[in-house]
Amino acid sequence: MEWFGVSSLFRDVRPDVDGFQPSFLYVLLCVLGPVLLGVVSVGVIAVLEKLAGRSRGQGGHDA
Amino acid sequence: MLEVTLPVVGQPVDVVALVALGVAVGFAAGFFGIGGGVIAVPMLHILFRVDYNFAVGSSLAVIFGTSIAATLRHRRMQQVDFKLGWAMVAGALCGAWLGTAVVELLKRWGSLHFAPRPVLAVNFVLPLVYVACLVGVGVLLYRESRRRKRELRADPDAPFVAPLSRAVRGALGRPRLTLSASGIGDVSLWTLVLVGLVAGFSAGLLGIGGGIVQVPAMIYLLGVPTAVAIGTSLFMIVFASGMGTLSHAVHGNCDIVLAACLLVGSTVGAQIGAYVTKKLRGVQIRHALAYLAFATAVVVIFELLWRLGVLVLPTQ
Repeated sequence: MEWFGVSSLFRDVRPDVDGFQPSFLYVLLCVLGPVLLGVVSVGVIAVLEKLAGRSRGQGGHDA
Repeated sequence: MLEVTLPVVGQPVDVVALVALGVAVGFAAGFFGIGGGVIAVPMLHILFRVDYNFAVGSSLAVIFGTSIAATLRHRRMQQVDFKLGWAMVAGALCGAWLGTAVVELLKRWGSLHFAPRPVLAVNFVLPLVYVACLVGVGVLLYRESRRRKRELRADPDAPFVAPLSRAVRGALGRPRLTLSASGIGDVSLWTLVLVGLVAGFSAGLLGIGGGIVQVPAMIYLLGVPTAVAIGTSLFMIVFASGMGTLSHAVHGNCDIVLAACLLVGSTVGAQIGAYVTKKLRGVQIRHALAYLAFATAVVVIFELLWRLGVLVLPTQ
């Protein structure tokens, strides 16, 4: 599969060694991808809440 | 059914099912303050036939993204104590390193051969210790939450006093801190570092994220409100899972497409889980946490039986 032209990212950089050996860019994607998705999801939901007119509320100290 | 071939794992998976699993993992993270690896790893292996090394590496990337989303959500609801989190992270990182060093020492015990499949002694003993800890934590949470529910039925405004918090907060000396987000007036920095060290040590020793230990430790030892303990635990998990993701990615154990499918669901699930914590009382969350501890113990026992060859999965 071509993965929209990013298939080179998933190439094994050392096929002579057992297992998948990732490139530096792939490692970077593994670390930065989750950060990006996490932040974006919070932003999207915050916008949706604003559109729906919901308040964020206050944290509770109940037991 | 929408199938996609995972580029690193090299097998097709159903994207919709992966996103659904992600929602469940994210909900558990946002609601309980845990990473969610205890759900993601066995489910990826059993339901999607993903090898354990890829299941662990990819689920760590998922936990990393999910814990960021859940922490930000809890922060918006003012349920994260960053001062407490930073102090405990410092102790937890040292504790995790110590725990891992102890595991390396224990590996010298060699293998056991009493089961159909030989297993390293350390891989047999540590899960049993983990189960004992989980059952202990579960019983503590279950008994305390039941007692607290009875108290609240008699007097809905009865104050919650964590059993050991007064003694623990008073221990050790300067510098002393005020944790306004947790409602703690005076506590030694070293106490927080020490509690983090214990949580990190158990995480490193037992190979877990630490949420299931951190949350009860913050509630019962420091007297932190349940919702704030969950938010702060997630903040700490960001660091642990970030380090784990980097390490597994370098070793080629992380499939980013698998992680991305799960993340789409888990980041949404985390928001829902965090939102639900605001709707429930602390005692109800602690009661649910007790059941999570018992369920986790059952999963660990099943995993141990599988590793010993006593239990054979239908997918093998």
